[in-house]
Amino acid sequence: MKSINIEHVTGDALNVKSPGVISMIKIKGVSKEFKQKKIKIQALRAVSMEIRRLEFFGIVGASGSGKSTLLKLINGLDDLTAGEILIDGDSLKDINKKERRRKIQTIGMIFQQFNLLQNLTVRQNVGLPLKVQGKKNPQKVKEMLAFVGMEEHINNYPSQLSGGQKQRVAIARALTTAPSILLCDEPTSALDEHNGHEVMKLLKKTQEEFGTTIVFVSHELELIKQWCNRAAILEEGRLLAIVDVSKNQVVNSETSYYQKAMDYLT
Amino acid sequence: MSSYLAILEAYQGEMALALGQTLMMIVISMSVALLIGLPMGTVLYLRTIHFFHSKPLLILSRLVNLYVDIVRSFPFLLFVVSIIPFTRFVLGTSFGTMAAAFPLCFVATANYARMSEQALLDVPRETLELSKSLCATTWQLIFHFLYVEARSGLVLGFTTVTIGMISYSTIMGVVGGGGIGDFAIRYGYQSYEYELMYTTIVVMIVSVVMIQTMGTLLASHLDKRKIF
Ligand SMILES: Nc1ncnc2c1ncn2[C@@H]1O[C@H](COP(=O)(O)OP(=O)(O)OP(=O)(O)O)[C@@H](O)[C@H]1O
Ligand SMILES: [Mg+2]
Repeated sequence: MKSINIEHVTGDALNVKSPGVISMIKIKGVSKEFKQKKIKIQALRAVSMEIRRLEFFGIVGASGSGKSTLLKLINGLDDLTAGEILIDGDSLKDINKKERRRKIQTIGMIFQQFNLLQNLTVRQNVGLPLKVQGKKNPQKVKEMLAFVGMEEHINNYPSQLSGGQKQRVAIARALTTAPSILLCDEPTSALDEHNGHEVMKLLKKTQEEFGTTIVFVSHELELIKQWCNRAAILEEGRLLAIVDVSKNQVVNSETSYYQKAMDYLT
Repeated sequence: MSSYLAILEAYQGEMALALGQTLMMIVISMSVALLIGLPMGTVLYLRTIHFFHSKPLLILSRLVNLYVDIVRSFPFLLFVVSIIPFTRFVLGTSFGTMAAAFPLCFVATANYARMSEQALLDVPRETLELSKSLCATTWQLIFHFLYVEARSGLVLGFTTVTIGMISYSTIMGVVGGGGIGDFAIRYGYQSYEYELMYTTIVVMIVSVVMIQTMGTLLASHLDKRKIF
């Protein structure tokens, strides 16, 4: 095993203003169990990790390894079975409902299926998080649409857009509330390579321009390799390793997913 | 032909009155369906997706479900007759157009509750996921997400229930409710004025086609999921 648990990320690896030594998301011994009828599914088993401010952090693993579950827990969408998650120093469970809501609303999320409302225009979709927070900011909506290069589609409906365009709108939507963290659940897997690449570039640009911490879930090692500073490797709900992603290519053999990930990413 | 026109002319006042009575029954019952049936359907939907966790809401949703099942399983004529004491208690009379609209309200509400539950079930899981990740309140979930995405289905369901109510309203002669169905039977069938009966049927077909067309047009105008 080449590297587990790297203690620091250097500034130039991140290529952003301040090196991310401060913890942004702290996951402490988190377990998640789903009960379906009588069967218990252990989706996450005692997972601990720290995601640093301004990082482009990857989470990889085979299908069913618990990636989406972990992301949902970070976003406070579901209750933990055990453990604790701290966002920017605050535990999600100590704070009252209103505080918790405010905290969660500083986290943006984009999805594999884009999750745009089909009956709303691009403008209305992008303005939705603001609306939910009781705010209105047409200027911000336009600004974010310009940022993702979709301003000329402001009055279109999602059904009139391509997949790549939809994901860009979804990114604009996530950014209107200026989140400090952007969670991305396989945002490119419904897209072709070109559009996937465009979306990744946009996420990188988001990180650089707004100082957003990016948590990027994928099962595609190539994407993690190319875009992430560090990555966590999950298997059957267990955290197997957190690796510093090095950019030099390693040829991988037909071994386990974990071995492949280790060889390839480090 | 001229005798036909003469009959129409002779009965046009009664016919207009009957149409007005039907219209009143439909407007009243469908307004109630919208105001009460839609919230009920929303409760049914939230129950189906296991949204409720608190005891009172679970009990409420079970009661709503029970209400809808009971009202919908009643043979309509029996329902009208069996709630006569209740109608009299609430309205002070069990006779006339208002008394006829009363049982229609219950049926329209129950039917629209089921229809709107189904329309809401068509909202994709992703929409719920989004509203959750944005920390929307329950009211926001309902008004900014669910109703937005289900709106064309809600309109189509409303159209279907409206047309069903026209059909139900035709037997309201039994409680003196009048209406176009009662007119067709009394002035047409029972008076051997078959032209009048068929004319009334044609009027009803035209009304139903018009309502359906309006509903379909509105629903497709509201539906932005696919642009053809
Ligand atoms: N709501 C749920 N109810 C029951 N089981 C669930 C639920 N959500 C996830 N699971 C189970 O938890 C495990 C982890 O699921 P998760 O969606 O996190 O995997 P994933 O790594 O995101 O997979 P994929 O790459 O296919 O998206 C799976 O076994 C899944 O079946
Ligand atoms: Mg997943």
